[in-house]
Amino acid sequence: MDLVPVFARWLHFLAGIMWIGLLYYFNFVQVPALKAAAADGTAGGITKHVAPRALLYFRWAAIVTWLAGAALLGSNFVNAFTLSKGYAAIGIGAWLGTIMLFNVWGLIWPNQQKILGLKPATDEEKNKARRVALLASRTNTMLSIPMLFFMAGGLTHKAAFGL
Amino acid sequence: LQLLEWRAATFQRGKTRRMTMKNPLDSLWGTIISGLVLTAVLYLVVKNFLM
Repeated sequence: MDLVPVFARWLHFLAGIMWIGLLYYFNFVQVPALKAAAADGTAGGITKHVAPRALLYFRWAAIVTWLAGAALLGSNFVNAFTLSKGYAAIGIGAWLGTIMLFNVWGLIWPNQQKILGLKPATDEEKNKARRVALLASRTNTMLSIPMLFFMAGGLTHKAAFGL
Repeated sequence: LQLLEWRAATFQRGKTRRMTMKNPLDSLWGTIISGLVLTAVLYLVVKNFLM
């Protein structure tokens, strides 16, 4: 029995829950909370103690999720990414997850470093970084909806696609 | 001439509307609705063209 897919699927789910769970935390909890906290001067606690820890798990969970997903696809990796017949649904999910991974490491994390003061930046650069990071994060939240639809189906997908 | 004026006014209204259009990703509901619409579009593409 090949144990690689068994552990790859398990790890893919564990890391994926961590990644998307933190993504939803940022969008549904932290961003609105920061607005309220800025009004009464308590935002420092969140930006200093909470956000850096959440971002640490968020960005590394994204990597682990993608790698475990790639291991799970195994020899079907190319079939999925080329949307070959029978692999289009999981392929779309894989592409959406890959775009989201790029957003995390290419847009969200570099801009969050400026916002949180981990990287030197002027006020103007910080304001621009806030906008880019917010839109990238919201884009990932939007993409997570179809991504989970295409990824999370097993037998139910066959019915959904008339197979 | 009236027709031209009417077309110019319609164009101006359209221009103003475009300029005030908001990004759906600025709100959580806009983000969720965009995600659901994207899901439906991708589902139809996959079902009809890629399966």
